[in-house]
Amino acid sequence: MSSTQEKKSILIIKRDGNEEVFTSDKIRRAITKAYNAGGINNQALEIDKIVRRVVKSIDKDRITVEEIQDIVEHELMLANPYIAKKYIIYREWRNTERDKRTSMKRTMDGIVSIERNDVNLSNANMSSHTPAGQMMTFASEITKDYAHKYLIGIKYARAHRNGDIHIHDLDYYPTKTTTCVQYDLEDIFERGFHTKNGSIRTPQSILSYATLATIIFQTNQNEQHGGQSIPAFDYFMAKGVLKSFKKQVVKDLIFAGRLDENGKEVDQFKAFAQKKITSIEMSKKQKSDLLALAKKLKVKISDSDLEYLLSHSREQVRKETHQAMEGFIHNLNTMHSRGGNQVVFSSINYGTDTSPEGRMVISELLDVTVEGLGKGEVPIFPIQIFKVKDGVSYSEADAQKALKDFDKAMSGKMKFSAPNFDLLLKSCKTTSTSLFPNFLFLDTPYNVNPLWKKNDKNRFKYELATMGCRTRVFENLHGETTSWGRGNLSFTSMNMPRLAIEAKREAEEMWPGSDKHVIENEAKNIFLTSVRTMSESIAEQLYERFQYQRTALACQFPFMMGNNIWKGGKDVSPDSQVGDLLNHGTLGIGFIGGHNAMVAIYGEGHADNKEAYQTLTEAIEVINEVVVKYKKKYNLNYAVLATPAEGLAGRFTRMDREKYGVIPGVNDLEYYVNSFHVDVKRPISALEKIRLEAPFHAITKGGHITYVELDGEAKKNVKSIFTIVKAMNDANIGYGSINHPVDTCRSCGHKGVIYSTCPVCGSEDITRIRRITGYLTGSLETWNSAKQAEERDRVKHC
Amino acid sequence: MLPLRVINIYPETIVDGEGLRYSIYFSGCAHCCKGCQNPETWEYNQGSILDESLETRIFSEINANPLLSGVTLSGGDPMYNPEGLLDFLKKLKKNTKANVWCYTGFVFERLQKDAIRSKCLKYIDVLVDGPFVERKRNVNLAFRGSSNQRIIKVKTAEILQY
Repeated sequence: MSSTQEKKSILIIKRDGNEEVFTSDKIRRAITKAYNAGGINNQALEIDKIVRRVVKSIDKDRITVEEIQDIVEHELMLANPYIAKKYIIYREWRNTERDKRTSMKRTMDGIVSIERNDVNLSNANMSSHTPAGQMMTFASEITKDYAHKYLIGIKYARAHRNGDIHIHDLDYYPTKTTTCVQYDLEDIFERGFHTKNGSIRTPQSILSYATLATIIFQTNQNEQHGGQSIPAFDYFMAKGVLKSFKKQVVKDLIFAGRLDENGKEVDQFKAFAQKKITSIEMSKKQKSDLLALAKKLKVKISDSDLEYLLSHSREQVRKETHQAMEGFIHNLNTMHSRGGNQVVFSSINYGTDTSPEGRMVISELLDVTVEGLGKGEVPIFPIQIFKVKDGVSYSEADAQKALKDFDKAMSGKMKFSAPNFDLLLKSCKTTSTSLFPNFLFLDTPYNVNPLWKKNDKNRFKYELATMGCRTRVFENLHGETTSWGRGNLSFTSMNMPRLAIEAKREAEEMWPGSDKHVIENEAKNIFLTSVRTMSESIAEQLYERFQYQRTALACQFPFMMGNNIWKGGKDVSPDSQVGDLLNHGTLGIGFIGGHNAMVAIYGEGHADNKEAYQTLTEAIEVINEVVVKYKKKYNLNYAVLATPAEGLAGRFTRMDREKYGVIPGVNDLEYYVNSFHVDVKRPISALEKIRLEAPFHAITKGGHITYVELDGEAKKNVKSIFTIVKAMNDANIGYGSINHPVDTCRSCGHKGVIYSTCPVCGSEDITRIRRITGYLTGSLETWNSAKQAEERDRVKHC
Repeated sequence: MLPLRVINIYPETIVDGEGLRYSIYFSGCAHCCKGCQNPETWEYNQGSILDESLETRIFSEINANPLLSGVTLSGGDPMYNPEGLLDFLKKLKKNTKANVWCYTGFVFERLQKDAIRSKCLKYIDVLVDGPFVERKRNVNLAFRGSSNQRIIKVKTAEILQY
């Protein structure tokens, strides 16, 4: 006690910065607690001794709490190491708890003050500064914390927190949601569907078809945490076009024949249209039947009148389709979902419906995409994906012919053997102004489906469709190979560079001063082993989450399950658990930073070093072996995913810099390179990039994408786009996309490559549209810092 | 013979003509158009001399890239040094058989009358001709800066519309 008085003048600096006069009582209390925790009571004398030594060791007038605790630790270690351990554990626990509280407070503060930080920008598609967006972000931070503490196995929670792995969409974990789904719109439209407030009948015109599609998008988005996609947009919409045409023909007959709208002739024409018209290009037989009917009903229409009438009907329907597509695109860029803070993550696949109606849908959709939104803005949604299929939308002979005289090919005056090849060319033109569509290659061996037959009217079901972001759901242990009515359940990514950094360090310690190759070889072996261990751990973690997801009640997803959008949903009663229903979904084991990992081991990326290329390939094959093992173990659709790295690009890198310091070429930038992608900074020809990345597509069946970057205005050089699409197809790329700058002047609307000021009007108010993980984002400023840095470093082909 | 000097090479560009192209920028231009995009290229005495080893490298790079629609010569003005250009064009055609686009500040008709420059034209498939005229500048044009400039298919003297 006397010692306290001796040191009266000491001030203690508390954690919040306040100062107060030091007393030894608190130290005595803390040490006593540690003794008690160790099961030792009544040691007042010994404790007093330690307290005195602590007070004696304080050699300054002002001291922080942490510094005092360090002294206590030191003195306890000398006096009683067993008790010291108790004290250290307690101190560590308090620190963690305190940090949890204050970091949550900081996070909330950030959301409140709308900081331009990475919490708010981690998702490029969300307006996190709006009230709904803020509510969502608050909720998201809380649920993440909850999931961490109470739902996820300690081992996985720690691995996530440490940055060994990233459990994606952690904020949705407690809701038991699945990631994404591809809609079978045909089924939904035929049956009609219901929402909370009522039922929707089968639509009867292309306008209704398109509108209902957006409603389904909007509603289902609320029940999942990932993207929403239509797998055969052209095929589904085609029926709407035909229905509109039938109505239009009757309307035109009423007009041409001056008929009474309620007369019996009209009923007969209606019945004819319903039963006999099967295409907007009516056959000779259908036309003569129609003429015969007109004659019977004493309605005067000549052959040439009918031709004129039908072409008029077609033109009206084309206009209606145009309007329908316009509404569709406008809606998807304006209608908010998920509590109103973000638009739907929508994707549509098309390109293979060769019917005149399907072709009309594609053609009008492409036109509308080029026209853009109200002021000509590039539509950010939906992600459009054109399916390239030999004999349907592509043929080598057509491609050669087009390349020889590209101007003529684009003019529409060239005949092609593949019925939709002209639409592929039109897609190239569209992507040159609007960055969409992307291209999905159905002839790439692993994308071929043996169930697909060219003349089968149900073939669309067996065509691969992708989520725009890249998630690929196709192979199936629990049903047919199809993308329809299925989706990803969850995915988790490994921090591949960290495994490589650790492997290299361990190898260097094992063989100090050894030859570079010896160390690299050793590092490679260690790396492959740890990739395997990490993949297995992720596989188990995905299974843990799967088990949790299974316990969701069907009524938690009333729209998706109630309307059978997730196939099988309708067979489960609302108050039952979804259980086995989820079996046909996929579980993704992802990775990021393949390039950085290779630099960590070899000092060079896989584009520059053959051994590195081989090692990265082997590493991904190792993940595939784990996939095979776990497919067998749990009978679930595991797959390797080339992770889209949004939000993650910076997190791992930042953490690894803290952990290992800056390692040049590995973690010295703000981001890790996407999955297996070649370093975005490396100058490389388009073909070289395509050829280097294509083999990785074959071993990442959970989803992949290759980008080719072009600088300069692609709209003035569509041939360059087609050349690249063809090269991707030839090289067996699975899914590819062409990036180029699309800048729009907000003042005059000029589109092109704009450096600092608009070349037309001199304005500095420029929107810069770029692609991020497959999605476009409104403007570069809304990207998180790591992604902005990555865009800046991308090497353009110019 | 004055050697050609290379300021820059773009192994794959989409802005200097149809398709993906291999562009070579030569130094030296006497037109000195007001508002020129690359005035730093006017000076002849800069860049690497186009010697045999550089030529070999260029030809092998061109031949190694099947995606190329052709080669574009720009600068500067490749016609600034017609003797050097003619010599290079012959080798370029012989070694690569590439489709050749050439930019120049001269107008086509003038080149046709010029003894040596008209010989160059024989090895050029498409000529983008004429000086840059600032008041005729139009950012919506493809592959050229001002509307007086023409994209000419040399063989037929046909003006191409891009």
